[in-house]
Amino acid sequence: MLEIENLSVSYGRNEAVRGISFAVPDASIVALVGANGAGKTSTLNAITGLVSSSGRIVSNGRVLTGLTTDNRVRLGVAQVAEGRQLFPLMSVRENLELGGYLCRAAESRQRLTVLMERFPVLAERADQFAGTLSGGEQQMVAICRALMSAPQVLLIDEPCLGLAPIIIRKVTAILRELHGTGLTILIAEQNASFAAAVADRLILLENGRIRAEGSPNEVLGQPQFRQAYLGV
Amino acid sequence: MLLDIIQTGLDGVMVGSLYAMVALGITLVFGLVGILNFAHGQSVMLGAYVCFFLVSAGHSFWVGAIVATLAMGVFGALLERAVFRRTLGDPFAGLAVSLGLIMIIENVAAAALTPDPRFMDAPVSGNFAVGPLLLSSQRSLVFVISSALILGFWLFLQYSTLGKAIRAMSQSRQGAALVGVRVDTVSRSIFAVGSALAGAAGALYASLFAVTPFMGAAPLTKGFILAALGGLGSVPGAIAAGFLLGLAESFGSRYLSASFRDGYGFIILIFALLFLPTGLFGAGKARV
Repeated sequence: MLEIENLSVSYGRNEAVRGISFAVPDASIVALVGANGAGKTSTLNAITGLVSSSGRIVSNGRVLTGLTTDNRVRLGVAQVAEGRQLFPLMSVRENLELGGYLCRAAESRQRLTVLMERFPVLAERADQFAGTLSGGEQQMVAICRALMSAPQVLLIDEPCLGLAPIIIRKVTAILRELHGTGLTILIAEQNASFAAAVADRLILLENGRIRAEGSPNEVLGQPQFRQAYLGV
Repeated sequence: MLLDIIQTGLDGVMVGSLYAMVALGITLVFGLVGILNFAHGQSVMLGAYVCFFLVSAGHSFWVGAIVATLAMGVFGALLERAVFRRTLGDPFAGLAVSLGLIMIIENVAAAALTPDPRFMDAPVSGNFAVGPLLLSSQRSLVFVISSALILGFWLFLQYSTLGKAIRAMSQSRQGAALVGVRVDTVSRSIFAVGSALAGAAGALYASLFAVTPFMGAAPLTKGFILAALGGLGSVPGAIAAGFLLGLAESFGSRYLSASFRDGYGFIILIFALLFLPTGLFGAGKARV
């Protein structure tokens, strides 16, 4: 369970996230949706400690507030960042190995084997530079790199940004598969139809505040949704 | 004629290995932290003095070189903590501060140690023959030490966990942070490592050339030419450029003009900027 209480993020005088609170129950997928600048990425970055924030963040009973990013990773929180943030001039294998940077070598090797069996394309591309992969393959490497630390909570920022519809379907399938393993997942996504297709709950953000929250059908049917996306 | 060319080439490779070591420190700091540390040459100079004084006090060259390396590592860490940490968000401020540090360190050294050139006994002397070739023992030793340090460092970057983390950081700082690399700590330690390499280069310089408070200028200028030539942030580029410059200087001095020795690097750099603007290996991105 990931619990966020009164989270705020500011960049100088600009408040990106304004005192939001929500929870991601165990083994569920929750999606933060909203237009550009709504505060989705800032929320995820605050949870992993990439940006400083105020408020309280608790993951599986452990308070993350004030911890450095590496300690949050140790406590089972992993993030697939916007733009994937792979290491383009390192091989797929090296990217994945670095995902297990904080793990013991034997554990890391075992997880790498399991992931390569689960996603054979990774084994086929193991020695290829990550920067030479297609967008969909890069997204798969980014998700698997995050899984290398055996997280309990996985945060994914814009999983289908820049991907073709056919690849988005593959990413959807991967997320559903991960959902089936009991992983707790929080997605930040601008594509509301994708978010509605994979998530159990949607949280609509606008100008750093929560405007609506509920099941996909509930949120997509609310006037706040049209207001946030279309301005009408 | 062929023998002369081989002899000249070997001389160039020997000096080139020393240049590559200095350029390595500069490119490493730039690739990871984004700061062009112009005070790098001063670490070379201080390392040379540390080695000189220890050897003059009766210690062996090896003790002098190791202490110079370690001392400059500590010096680099102190500089990062006291100065460069505050300029991380502003590369121009870092550049200005490093230029100021040149003045301060050089002038303090000149005041405290006098500008007089000092000479240190080399650990080995004379020449030895390899077939028809005659090689300087000390230059050969410098080549072996600097090549071993460069190779060791390259292997560390390629195969150790920390080395991979350093390479990862140079490609995506945020990505590295998200896999658990303590990016601030690694950034700081890279200053220490870069400065330690400069200290080792200083000890090797001292075994070949006069030690003066202003001796940092030449390795610094050449180091920056090489870092730019190799592609700023590229370790293989800096190493290759080091050897290229050594060869250019050696052949230029032998067959064109010895008095223009320091100018050959600039000529290569101008051509490189015209035809290979992103460095010898082609990518504009940092490739630590």
